[in-house]
Amino acid sequence: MNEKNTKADSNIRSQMRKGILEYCVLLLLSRKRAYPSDIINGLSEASLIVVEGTLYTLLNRLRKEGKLNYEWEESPKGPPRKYYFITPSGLETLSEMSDAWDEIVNNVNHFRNLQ
Amino acid sequence: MKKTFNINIAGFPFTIDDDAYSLLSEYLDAIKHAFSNLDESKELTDDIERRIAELLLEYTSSGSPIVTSAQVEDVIRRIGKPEEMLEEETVSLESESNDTPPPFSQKDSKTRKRLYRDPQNAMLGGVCSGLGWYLNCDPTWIRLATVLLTFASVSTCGLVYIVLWIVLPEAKTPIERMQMMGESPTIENIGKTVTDSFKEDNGTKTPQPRPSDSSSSFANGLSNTFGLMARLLIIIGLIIGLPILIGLALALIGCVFTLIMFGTSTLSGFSYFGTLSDSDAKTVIYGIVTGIGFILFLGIPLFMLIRKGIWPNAKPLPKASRWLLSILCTLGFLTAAFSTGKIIDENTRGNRYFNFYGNDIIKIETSPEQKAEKAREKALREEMKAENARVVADKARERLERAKELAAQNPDKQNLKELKRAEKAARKAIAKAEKALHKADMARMKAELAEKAAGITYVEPRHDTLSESTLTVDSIASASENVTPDSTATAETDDTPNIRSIAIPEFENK
Repeated sequence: MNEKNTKADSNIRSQMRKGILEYCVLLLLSRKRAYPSDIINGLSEASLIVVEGTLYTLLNRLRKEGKLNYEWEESPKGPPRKYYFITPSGLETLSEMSDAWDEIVNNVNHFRNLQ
Repeated sequence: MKKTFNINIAGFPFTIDDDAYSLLSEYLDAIKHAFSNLDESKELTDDIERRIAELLLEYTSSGSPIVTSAQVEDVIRRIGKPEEMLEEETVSLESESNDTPPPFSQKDSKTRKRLYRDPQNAMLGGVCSGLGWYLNCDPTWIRLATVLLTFASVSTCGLVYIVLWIVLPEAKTPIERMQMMGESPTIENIGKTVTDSFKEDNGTKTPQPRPSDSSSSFANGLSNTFGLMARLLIIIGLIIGLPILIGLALALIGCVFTLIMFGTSTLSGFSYFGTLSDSDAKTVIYGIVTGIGFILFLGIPLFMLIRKGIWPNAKPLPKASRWLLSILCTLGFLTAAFSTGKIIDENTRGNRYFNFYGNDIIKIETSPEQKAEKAREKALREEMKAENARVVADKARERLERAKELAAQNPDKQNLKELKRAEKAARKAIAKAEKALHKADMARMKAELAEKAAGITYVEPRHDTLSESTLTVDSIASASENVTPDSTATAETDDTPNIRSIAIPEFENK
């Protein structure tokens, strides 16, 4: 866990983060299948810090919305795990989000470049 | 040395420390509660439980056979506290309810006692049981109070009970039960609640014995201190005593009120009650004293019994208090007895016996002649008083005149002051005299009525009009003749002054 980030976590950052969490999860899963713990690790590598519990609710919701699905995988050293993957519907949403993201970035950059 | 529990998480067995267990239980509980308003809450909780098992297995496989609270804390930190989870989600989800779970903190749920319904000890809905836990009191008393109050309040309290039944949650899980009882999870309690809930799931209900000691129930407490007979007596005493006490308290309030009315009426010179005789006033005062006495005499033992019944485990009162209470109780009894006697005395003065039973078993009788004589004596007493008051009023008037003159001649500070005082005194004296005169008139009229009823004609002793003569006791006494009526002899009470009336019994043709 990145201590510095946690301390500096202002409301702004967390607000932003909440919005893009879904986007990042879909991005990750579009690359390859993953367990929730993998997703957590991937996110924290990008300094996007959430607790696992948040992820579970998010994954659950996305699955309900049909954007994700999972398979059960037996594990030798523990309880069976859910192996998540993205669905076609999820891919669609992903491309929409990418478009939206690009648009936002462009808008913001426009103002940033104005000096 | 600690106790451990064998649990299973997501189907995997673990051996866990007792404090770690309690922490984990509360966490799982909090999680369940946090997800309770979402769909698929079961799936989510299962996910988390599986994750917990996964993480704990890493610890146990790497060499520590027992799950410790440190490990549980670590797991909680990783998975996140309920409020952390939902908080993140709430923004991206439009959450239907703003039900943020209470922040999960171990300390909170341990020390605070919460009001639940108790399904295990429930008689009807568990409301009284739950209240008993919360108030640290035997639920039997609460049930009793509920029933009585429902009757007394024309079912209003019954409605309150139903509202509570609906509103209060049941304490289902072990954690909730412990919160209800206000206990921190001790070794015994956790084991017990877990096994109890296990038994319940399997269909056999074990009525949970209330903790503390076994003598917490009312019956047990009594039988430890008294015998069976005493128990019955005490119960009867309670049933009888409480309404009597309430009645006495109300009577006391009534008496005090009367006294206040009487007192203020006297002071202001305006009488609410017409001529309230002295004996009536005395009756009221004695009535108050009796009331206080009875309340002490009955109330103190009642209070002690109630206290013992409701809080059997409370510390007994310090010795000094107990002594004080015993003395007050005895004094109460004596006072009540004494002043009751006084009341009876006041109201039956002149009658040797009074008609207690309403029939002729005890012969009463004051004859009309005796009554008339008494009335006349009283009338004369009142006249005397009136005359004295008149004298005082005259004197006060004179003083006022003199003061007026002085002030008119020499209006210095002293004289004006004296004038004021004289005015005040005169006012008072005149008021008093008028009252006394009024009283005397009333008494005289009553006497005349009584004499008429008895067939007596009263001949006033020869004297000038009242306002100008000086009536003294001697002059009246010397002018009297002693006439005894021919019925039973009059008993002379102590405080009738030695005035005899002149009464010539004339027997008219009947």
